[in-house]
Amino acid sequence: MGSLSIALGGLQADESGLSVTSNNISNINTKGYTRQVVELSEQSPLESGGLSYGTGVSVDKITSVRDTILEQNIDAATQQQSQSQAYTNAMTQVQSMFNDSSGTGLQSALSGFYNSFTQLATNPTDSAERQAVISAAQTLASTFNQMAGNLNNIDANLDTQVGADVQQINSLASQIASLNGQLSQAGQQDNNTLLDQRDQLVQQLSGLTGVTITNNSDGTISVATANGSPLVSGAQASTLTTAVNPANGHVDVFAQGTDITSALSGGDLAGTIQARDQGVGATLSQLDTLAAGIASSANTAHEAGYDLNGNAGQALFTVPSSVPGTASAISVNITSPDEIAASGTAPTIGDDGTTITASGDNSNALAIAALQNQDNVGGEKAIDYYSNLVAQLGSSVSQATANSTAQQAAITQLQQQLSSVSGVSLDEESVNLIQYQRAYQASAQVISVVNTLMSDAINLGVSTSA
Amino acid sequence: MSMRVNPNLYLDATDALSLTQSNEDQAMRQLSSGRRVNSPSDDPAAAAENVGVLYQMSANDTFQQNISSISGGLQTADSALNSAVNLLTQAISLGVQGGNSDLTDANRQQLAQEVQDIQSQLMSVANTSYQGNYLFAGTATSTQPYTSSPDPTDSSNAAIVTYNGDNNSTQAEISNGQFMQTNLPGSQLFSGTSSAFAALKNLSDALQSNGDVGSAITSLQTALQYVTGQRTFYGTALQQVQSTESFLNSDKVELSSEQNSLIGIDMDQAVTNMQQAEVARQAALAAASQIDQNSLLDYLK
Repeated sequence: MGSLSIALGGLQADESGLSVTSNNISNINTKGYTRQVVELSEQSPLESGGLSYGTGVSVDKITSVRDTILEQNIDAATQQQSQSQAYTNAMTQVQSMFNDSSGTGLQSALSGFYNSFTQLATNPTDSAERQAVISAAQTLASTFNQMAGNLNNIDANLDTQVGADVQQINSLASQIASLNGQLSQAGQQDNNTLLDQRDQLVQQLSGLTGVTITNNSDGTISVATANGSPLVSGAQASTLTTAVNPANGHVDVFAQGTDITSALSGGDLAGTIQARDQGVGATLSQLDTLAAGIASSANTAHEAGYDLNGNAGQALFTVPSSVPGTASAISVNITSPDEIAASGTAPTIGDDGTTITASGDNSNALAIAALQNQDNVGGEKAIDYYSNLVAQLGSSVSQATANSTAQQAAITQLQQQLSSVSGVSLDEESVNLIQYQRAYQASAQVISVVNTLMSDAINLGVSTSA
Repeated sequence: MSMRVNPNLYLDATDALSLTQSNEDQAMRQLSSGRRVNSPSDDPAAAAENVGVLYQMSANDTFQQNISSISGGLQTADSALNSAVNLLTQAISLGVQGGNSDLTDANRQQLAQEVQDIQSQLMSVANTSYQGNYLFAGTATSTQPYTSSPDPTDSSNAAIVTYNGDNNSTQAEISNGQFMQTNLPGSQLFSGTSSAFAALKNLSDALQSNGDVGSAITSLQTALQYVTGQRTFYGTALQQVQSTESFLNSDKVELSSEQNSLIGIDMDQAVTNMQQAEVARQAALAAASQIDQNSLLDYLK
């Protein structure tokens, strides 16, 4: 009796259809879930008496409806977005230190310093004005110190972040490798869940660093960093390592003993390294140049003058011998108001043999105040050099923010596209549910009819049961 | 079959909500701070230019303080010279009296004594100080510029006055790159050529010894003319600081309007932005609240 087994096959096919539908509905809110469909086909027919009888349905496989190209596009956009985002996050902290219109920044300390000399010039013997010069110089030095200190803190946090990113990358790589191992052993039938999991891991990995993915024929993928260092091949994961670079104290990233720090691109790791080595590093070095230019010109001018007691001026600022580190180390050398060399005239001996000190001479105070209009810092006036620094900082943050926003929009767009392919639709599943339910009912009816027919045949036409 | 659409509308909704929220945040930040540029990245060029404007503003403040402190010294010096002119005029009229041949020796002694009093008054005028600094000592402002000692040839003669200051003058910056001289050394006013002190001594000595009073008067007149002429320096300087001060005041207004156009907000625009952002956010919220209220399941009962 073929009909009975055909109907049984139908029941089984409908059951698996219901099971897939049920699984789709249950996972409607599961992140990374790809909707599945049952693929059915006809059984081969039976030839009998020149006629061809169908033998029912068979369940071929359950496949997940994925779009690998879209997934890879999302990964690529995620890599760029995370890089811009990490850079923006770090540099937003940096630029908030240079927000002169909101009261942070160097402008006020810088103008305060030069203005104190302009003011001293109007009353060069006044000890309050002299004290004001020392205070203004101290404010300038401590503002440099604070800014450099904050930049160094941000730098240290970024170093910590590099280490954390590398650890996470290694953990994801080993999880991907282990899924690779399971996938290469699994049959074709039950790998959908593993594929979903692996896609999720690759996407997380893309948030951390730029990767290239190669699909292998055995169902595994090979993962390499943007510069080609292998992270995963088959069931094998390679770990990245970190070590402190003795030259600059930064945490560098190594793959199999090779320093790949500057070769990395994409993801939080590259954005963090970019912010650390280019953003924060460049800002700190510009601050050093600024501090050194101001200090060295002020020292030279101050040493050319004479203090209130007629002694030659000393250095105004104490700075390290080389430019790097100046911003964090600069301090004021002069402690007594009398030692400010406002006068440009050496003491003279009067007719009666007493020393006449030109204490009211203000020419050296004016000369120091005039330094602000000279190109003493990298070929520019100090304030121009500083405002260029602010402009550069602002532009880099604004570009990175724009880039991050654009990439985020691209990701959203791609995710919507992917969801339109792979997302679970309740309407669709409801239709499937009815379809499989009705088919199941019909197949059951067939069994019931065949059952009646058979009992009719066995009891020679006398019905025995309802 | 038509193209499958994204069944997960929450994806669109969260995106729209976060976009409208960030627009509203930005509009709110601009309104509450009154500034369009709240961090350098909002407008890097404007933020950098604003650094320059702030810098000029604080320099401007300094120049204004300079002017008020210079003005005091200039005024004091000007009124000191006014007294000097009065004293010299007084001495000349004493000299003219002394030239009268009817006078007795005692009368001339009396006049000589009055001239000596004028000499010591002029000395205290020439030693005028302002905020602890001698105004007429050149740059040696802590040294008393004029001291007197008795005439060694005849102690009843007028004292000899010597200048202890230097011959330098000081400059002050009163606006960006504009410098002005703020003093004249005593050697250009009371001693040196056309010395008022020397002329006074000559007159006193001539009266005492019944000498050439006429030529003493002539040299005193020359000294008076000289001091009167030099006094115009202070008048001119005072005018200069006043006109610079009014320039600085208008420059200050200009700088703050420049600052406003660089980083400030256009209030109408900002309020409109805020309203638009609010409307957009409400629309997004309303749309999100409508999502998935219905599916096929609602109709299969």
